[in-house]
This record gives sequence, C-alpha cells and structure tokens, in this order.
Amino acid sequence: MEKVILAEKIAYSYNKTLAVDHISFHIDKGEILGFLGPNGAGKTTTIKMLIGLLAPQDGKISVLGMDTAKELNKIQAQIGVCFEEKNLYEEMSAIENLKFFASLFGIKKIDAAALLKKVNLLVEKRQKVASFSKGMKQRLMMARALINYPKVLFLDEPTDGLDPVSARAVRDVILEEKEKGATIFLTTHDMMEADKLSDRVAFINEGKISVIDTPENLKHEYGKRILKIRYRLDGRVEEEELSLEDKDMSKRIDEINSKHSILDMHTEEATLEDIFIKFTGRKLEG
Amino acid sequence: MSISRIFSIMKRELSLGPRSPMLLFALALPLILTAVFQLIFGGLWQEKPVLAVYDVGDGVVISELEKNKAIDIIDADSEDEILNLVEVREADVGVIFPQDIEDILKEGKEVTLKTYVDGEAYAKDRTIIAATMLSVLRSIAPEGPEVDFEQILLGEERGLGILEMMLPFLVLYGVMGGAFLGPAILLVGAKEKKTITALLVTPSSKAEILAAFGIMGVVLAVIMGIVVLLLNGGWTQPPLMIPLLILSSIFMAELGLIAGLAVNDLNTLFANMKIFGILLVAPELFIIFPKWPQWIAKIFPTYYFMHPVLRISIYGDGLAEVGWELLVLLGFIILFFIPIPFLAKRLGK
Ligand SMILES: Nc1ncnc2c1ncn2[C@@H]1O[C@H](COP(=O)(O)OP(=O)(O)OP(=O)(O)O)[C@@H](O)[C@H]1O
Ligand SMILES: [Mg+2]
Repeated sequence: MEKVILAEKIAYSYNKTLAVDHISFHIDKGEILGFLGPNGAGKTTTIKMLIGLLAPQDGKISVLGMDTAKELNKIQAQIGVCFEEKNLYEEMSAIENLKFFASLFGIKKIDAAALLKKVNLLVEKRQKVASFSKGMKQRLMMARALINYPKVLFLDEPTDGLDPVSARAVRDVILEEKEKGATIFLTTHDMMEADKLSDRVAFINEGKISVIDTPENLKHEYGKRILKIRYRLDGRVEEEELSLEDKDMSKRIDEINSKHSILDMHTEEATLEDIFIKFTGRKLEG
Repeated sequence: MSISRIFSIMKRELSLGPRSPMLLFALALPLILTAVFQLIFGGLWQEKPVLAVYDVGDGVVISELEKNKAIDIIDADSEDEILNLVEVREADVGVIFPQDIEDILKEGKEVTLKTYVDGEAYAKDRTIIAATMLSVLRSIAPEGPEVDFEQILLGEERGLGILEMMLPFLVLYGVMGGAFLGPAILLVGAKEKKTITALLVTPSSKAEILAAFGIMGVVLAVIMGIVVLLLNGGWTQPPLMIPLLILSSIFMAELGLIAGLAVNDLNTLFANMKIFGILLVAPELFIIFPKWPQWIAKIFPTYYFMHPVLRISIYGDGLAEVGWELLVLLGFIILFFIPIPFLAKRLGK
C-alpha cells in the first residue's frame, strides 16, 4: 500500500508549550484517518506541519512521496485544505473566491457552479462572503479545498459548528472524495463523526498519539459489549448489566425470566468516547 | 516564480485592497495637502514666468522667443525699461540681446547675455526662463550656442518659495502612501484576516506573494508620484523623473514589506508609523531650513529621493547632477532587501 502521508517523529513547540510531541503515523492511499482529540491536543498544529505552514522542529514529513521541507510548492499543488479558522476573502463573492484561488493553481476554467452546488451554496453564489453565516462560510471553505482536484485533503474540524443538514452535506462531500480515491486527514473532536467517516482513528492528547486503529478494532478490543435487562421486582423496576462475553450470561437470563417479568433488554456497544477516556483519562469535549 | 500567480494576487489586491479606509486616506492626503497649499500660498504654477527682452538688433531672437508657450515675453525698448520691469516685479527676468547676436551665434563664438533677475522670483520660474532661452538660441545656432549669462540680482534673494519647498515632501508622501502603506496595510490586513494562510497553502511561494504586494505598492506609488508632480507643476523631466520615482517606490515598498512582515496587527503598525514617518520625512526640514548643516540630511535614505526631486523639477538639473544620488538610492534598495527573506520565514505562523 502506498503511504500518501508519512510523518516520522514530528514535533513542534510554541515558545514553551510542546504542542506536538514526536508523533509518527501514516495514511494509505484512499484512506481517511480521523485525528481525534480534545481542545489543545495538537490537532491543528499537526495539520499546519503537514501542509507546510509550520516547519516541524524535529522529525520528517512526506506527502505524496515528497519531502515537505524540499518540495513544498509541488505538494501544495496537489492538496486541498479546509482550515479551522475562516480565511476567505470577505469582500468577494463565493464565486470570486473560488475563481481567484483557482487562478493560483493555474486553473483557468473551473466549474464553480458544480462545486457550489455540492455544498448547497448555488443560490448565494454572487453574494459577498461577509454576508454569509458561519456555516455557509464553512461550506464554502470546503468547496475551495476541492478547487484543484486534490489527491490529498486536510480537513481541520470541517463540520464544527454546522447544523445537522450542513454537517451532513459536508460529510457527503468527504465520502464522495474518498470514493474518487482521495486520501484524507480529518481532525475532529466529534467521536460520532470520526466513527462514521474514518477508516482508522488516532487518539491524540497533549501532543501524543496514544493509539491508532480502526474504530471496529478499538471497540472490539477495548470496549466491553453489554446486555442491559430491565425487569419488575415487587412492583419496582430493576436493571441489570450482563457482559456479552460472560459464559454464564444465558443462565442468568433464564433465571430472571423464570422468576420475574422482563420489561426489555438491549445490547450496548462501547463508544469511541468511552475508549478515549480509557486511554487518556480525559473527555473529548468540555 | 510564476508571473501569472504574481499578477493574480496583485490584481486582487489592487482592485479590492485600496478600499481599506486607512489606505484611501493615506493616498488622498498628499492631494488634499496640495489643494490646501495652493489655496493658502497661491497658484504658483498657474501663472507663466515672465521674461522682459530688449533686443538691440533686428528682433529675430525675440520673434523666435515669442513662439514658445512656456513663458510670457514683454518686448522692451531700452535697458532702463528692462531694469524697471524687473524692479516693479512685472517680469521675473530681463535680458538684453546685443546687436549682432544672430551672427555671433552662427559663427560659433561666445556671447555674454546681460540679465536682470528679480530676487523674489521663484527658482522654478528662473529655471524655465533659462531653459526656454537656451532652446531658442539653440534653434538659431544648432551646433550649440556658447552662451554665458551675466546675472544682476535685484532685491533680496529669498530662496525657495513655500510651494517649491513643499514639493519634495508632497511627492514623498504620495510615494509613501502607495509603496509603504499599500503593502504594509494589505499584508498586515491579510495576516489579521488569516487570508495569508490560504494563499500560503496554494502553490504560490512566499517570494511570489511578497513580490505581488511589493509590485502593487510600486505601481500605486508611481501613479501617486506622477499625479502629485503634475498637480504641483513639478512634472518637468519625465525621462529622469520616472526612473527616480520607480527607484524610490521600490525602496519604499521594501520598507512597507519589512513593516508588514514584522508587525502582526494594524494598531501596532499605525503606532509605529508615527516615529517611522518622522524619520522618512526628516530631510524636508533641511530643505525648509537651508542654514542647517546639510550633511545631516544626507544620513537619511529619503534624502536621495527628496533632494533629486527638488533639483530636477525646480532647478532643472539633469542626470549629470543627480545621477550619483540615484546610485545611492539603488544601494539602499540592495541593503534593505537583505532582511526580507529572514522576516518572511515567520509568515504564516
Ligand atoms: N500560535 C500559538 N502560540 C502559542 N501556543 C499555541 C499557538 N497555537 C497553539 N498553541 C498551543 O499549542 C497547543 C496545541 O494547539 P492546537 O491548536 O494544535 O490544538 P487543537 O488540537 O487544534 O485544539 P482545538 O480542538 O481547540 O482546535 C495548545 O496548548 C495551544 O495552546
Ligand atoms: Mg484546532
């Protein structure tokens, strides 16, 4: 498998804060890696190093087989970036923004309308970005990231602060790009999103990666699957949790069933959030 | 380096950037000052300089002189009348052409012309009169007339008029507004609004981005310089003035880029602008006060812009006189380029 992104022991500190602490990871071609971590974990700093805004103070990065320290502009021609901070030209319209950035990639003809349609901004295409809502700007940033038909996408919390409909539109675009073969680095602190979109997730906390694996493996290995049963006992509702791995589970169910009337029972999977807490001792949000 | 990318960025900044109110104000200021000075100190440049002529001979020279459009001619009948016209300030300069001047000139012999000069006449008017006379005499003796002027000064020599003194300052202000404030305000603005990071992740290099901001400043500044010179009647020698404007605009654009790279927000930029502006404008004080030791003015880089502006547009100096000052300016351009790549490393962090 071709390693489209390869980071080896990269580190970056601002003055005294060690924001990224010698982390290593890779992303295969066509894969989505979800970078999951709480505020201040070092997600944005990592992305900034990968796209060449910050030079790693230690370690090495290659993107599409090229060293970011040496062939940055060549790499940048083939990547798309959706920033965490809004950085569109507010005094220009949506369409002008797209055309201007296309010109910097040497692209003369772009189908701006098709891109805007993808992110549901076709109607507002001639409006000044200054008049856009936060979510509209975010969607336009997503469209801009696709302007050069990128082979690699770097998305820094692309659905942050979006309403469910907008978030859905953005997620659909991400999956569509993956379908087309794009390799995607996605940061988020939304574990549902990471679970839904990512082929693999990396947990990052305080600048360190504690684990990288597929969501399924993580849940299988680290999460316990349980069965919750509620039944009536002397007029009260009792609840009992049984581990699905427990060999005596069915015996206990029979026992409850014979003595009491079962109200309901359902299985529960551990969430990525539970596993994150297990690894880092910290919640994703708050 | 991609010219088309530089052009794209430049076009965007030129069409939308100058909407910044601060930049608009900076660009309007030299024009407003021009209008104010002209109102208070009179329209110096509207009236043509006046030359009184007493042609002892057959009047060939005077009829040639009367064809020119740059100066007005008064035809006098005696040396006394000339003297009187200059004394009562009806003429800025009076000149006496001897009997056989045409023949002397054609034979290539030297001729001495007696002139009376009003001490209060503007230096610029005197320059225009001398230049017009020389060009007319040249048309009579194409091999190059050997002319010597014997000047008799009437009244007190008053030095430069206020509008003349202010010309280098106004031109500097125009160039500064375009080339210094243009790149500085737009670059700092792009940092504040984070749009610079969006530019930096495209294939555009930092060199291209900075070149675009710099060239845009130079274009604005040269236009501003020409407009200010035109409004103030200083646009006399375009072939020499254009290179001077370009060199000084490049120098200012470098300072603008340095400021734009070093500073991260507009408030800090404007706070530091005041101190910085005084340093840039300092040589003007030495033009206003000619008795101050002039060597001090030469310490300031902008001297090598303001002084040639004065010499070229007021005194009619040519490349021979101001050439070395242009070279010094070129030296400063090379010197002030050095810090830019180092400062550029911080861009985008
Ligand atoms: N420009 C900066 N100067 C100083 N410290 C910074 C700067 N940017 C980030 N940091 C610090 O570096 C650490 C990592 O920040 P980073 O922005 O990479 O986190 P993040 O995971 O993207 O967080 P968030 O979820 O809030 O976006 C934090 O401790 C932060 O305070
Ligand atoms: Mg972040």
